[in-house]
Amino acid sequence: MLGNLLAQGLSQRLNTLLQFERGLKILESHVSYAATLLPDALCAAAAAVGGDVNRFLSRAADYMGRHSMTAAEAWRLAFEETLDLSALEDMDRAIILGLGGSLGMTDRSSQLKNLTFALERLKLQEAAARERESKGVKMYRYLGALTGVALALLLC
Amino acid sequence: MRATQSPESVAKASFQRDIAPYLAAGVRRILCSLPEWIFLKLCEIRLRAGRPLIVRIEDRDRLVTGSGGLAKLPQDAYTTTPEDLSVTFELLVSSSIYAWEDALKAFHVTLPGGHRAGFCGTVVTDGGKIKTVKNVSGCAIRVARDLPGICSRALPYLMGKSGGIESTLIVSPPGSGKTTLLRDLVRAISNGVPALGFDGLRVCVIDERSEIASCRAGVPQRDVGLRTDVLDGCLKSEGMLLALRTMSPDVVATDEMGSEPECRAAVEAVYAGVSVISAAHGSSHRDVIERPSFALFRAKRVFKRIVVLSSRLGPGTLEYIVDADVEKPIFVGPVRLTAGEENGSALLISPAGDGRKTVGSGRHHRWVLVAGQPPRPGTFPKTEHVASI
Repeated sequence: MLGNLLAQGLSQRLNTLLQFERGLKILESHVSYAATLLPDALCAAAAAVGGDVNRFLSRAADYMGRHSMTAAEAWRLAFEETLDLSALEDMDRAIILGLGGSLGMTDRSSQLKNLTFALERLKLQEAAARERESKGVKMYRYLGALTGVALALLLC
Repeated sequence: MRATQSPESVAKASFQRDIAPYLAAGVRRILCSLPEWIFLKLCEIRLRAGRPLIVRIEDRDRLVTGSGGLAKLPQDAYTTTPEDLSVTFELLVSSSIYAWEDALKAFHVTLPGGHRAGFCGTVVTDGGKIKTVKNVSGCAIRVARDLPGICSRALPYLMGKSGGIESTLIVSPPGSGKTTLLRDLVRAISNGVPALGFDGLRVCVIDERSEIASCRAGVPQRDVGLRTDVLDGCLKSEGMLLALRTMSPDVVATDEMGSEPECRAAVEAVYAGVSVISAAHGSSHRDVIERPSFALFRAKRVFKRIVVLSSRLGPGTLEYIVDADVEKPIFVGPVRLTAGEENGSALLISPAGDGRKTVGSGRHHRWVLVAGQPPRPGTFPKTEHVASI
C-alpha cells in the first residue's frame, strides 16, 4: 500500500506538471495573441485543464476579478490554497511561484518571454518526472510488495 | 416591493461597483466611507504619492481624511503612499499591462462604467516614442456621467433632406463638451428619434482613444446606441476605411480629426456615401476650416455642418451651427445644452399659418419660422422661433 502511495505521488506530480504546461500554453496564446485581460485569460486557461491546476487557475482569476487582488497576491494565495499539498517538488513550486511575480506587469513580448521560459523549465521538470515515474512506479510497487511479504513473514 | 433608492445611494453603489474595486485597499476603505451626498457630485479622485488624497466635488477640490471625512488642512488629510499608487495602478490595468499597451502610451485606461483613469510617472520611451509609464506617481480617476438628450437642440439642424445625417464637425476648445455631444449624437442617430420622424442609422465609431464608447476589453461602457459598432483603439485613418469595407455604416463617427491620412480617409468615406461626424479643437468654425490640415476638407466640401461649442454658459454651450456649404449660421446661440431634453422638444410647435418661411427640412419634417423677424440674408432665426411640422 505504501509503495502504491509513493508511486501514485510520482504519477500525480507528472500529471500536475502536464496540466500546468497545458494551462500555460493557453495563457500564453491569450496574452500574446489576443491581449486578453489576465483574469479572463486565467479563466480560459482553467477551462482547458482539470484537477488541482484547474482549481488553482480559477481561484487566482477569482481573487483578481472579485477580490481586487494584484496578480502576484492572487497567484501566491491561490497556490497556497490549492497546490501547496500537492505532489509537486520544491523546484516545480519555485518555477510556478516565480512566474506569479512577473505575471501581467510587462509588455506583451516580455510576458511571452516569461511564459515561454517558465514553460521550458516545467518541461525539463516534466522530463525528469517522467523518467522517475517510469523507474519509480515499478520500484515502489516492488518495494511495497516485498515489504509487505517481509512483514507478513515476520508476523508469522 | 423594492424601496426606491435615493440618487445619492445609487451614485454610491455605482462608485462601489465600478471604481472602488480598482483602488488600493486603504484608499478604497477611506473613499467608501465618504458621506453619501458626495458621490452624486463626485467628479474626480486624485492620488499623488506623498501628498493628500483629494476628491473633486463639482468644481472644488476637497481633501479627504483617513476616516473618510473632508479636511480643510493638508496635515489633517490622508497622505497617499507610493504603494497606494503602485497597487492602484496594477488594479486599474487588471495586472495586464500587455493588454493596455496602446492605452498606456496615452497614459490612461478605461474602467467599467466608462470612468477614466489617467497616470503620471516616469515615461518609458523606445526609439524616441512613448512606450509606457512606470513608477506611477500620480493618478486621476475621472468619474463619467452620461448626459442623454444633450444633442437634442443640435440634431434637427444636422438632419439631411433624404433622411440621413449631414457630415458634421463639432468644434470647441478643450473641456467644452465636444466628446459628450459627439457621443450623444451617435446614440441618438443610432437609436433614431421618433419625435423627429428620424429612423435610426447604422453608425460605426472609430474610437482611437476609447473616449467615445469607453470600451473595456472591447465592450462599450457608454450607451452609444443599438445600431452602433465600435472599432476600439483603431487608428482613425485605417478605421474609417475598415468600417467602410466591413460594417457598411451610414455614419462614421470619430473624435478629434486632424492629420492628413485621417482627412483623406474621411474624404473616402464621404465619397462612398457615408456621413462623417467628427470633432476638432477650436473656438470658431474659421479656426478649423482655415487650418492647413483641413484644406482637403475645404476643397472636397466634406463637412456640411459645423457645430461650435464653448464654455460661455458652462461646459456644453452651443454657440452656433454653420451650414458649411454657404458658410452661414443656421442656428445662433448661446444656449446651454442640458441632459434629459426630449429630442425635438427645443423646437416650438405651433399651428400652421400663412407666410411661414421654411428654414430647414428632413425626410418627414419641415422647419418653419413661426415667430420673430424673418431672417435677413446672412442671419438665421433662433431655435425658439422655429417650429417643426
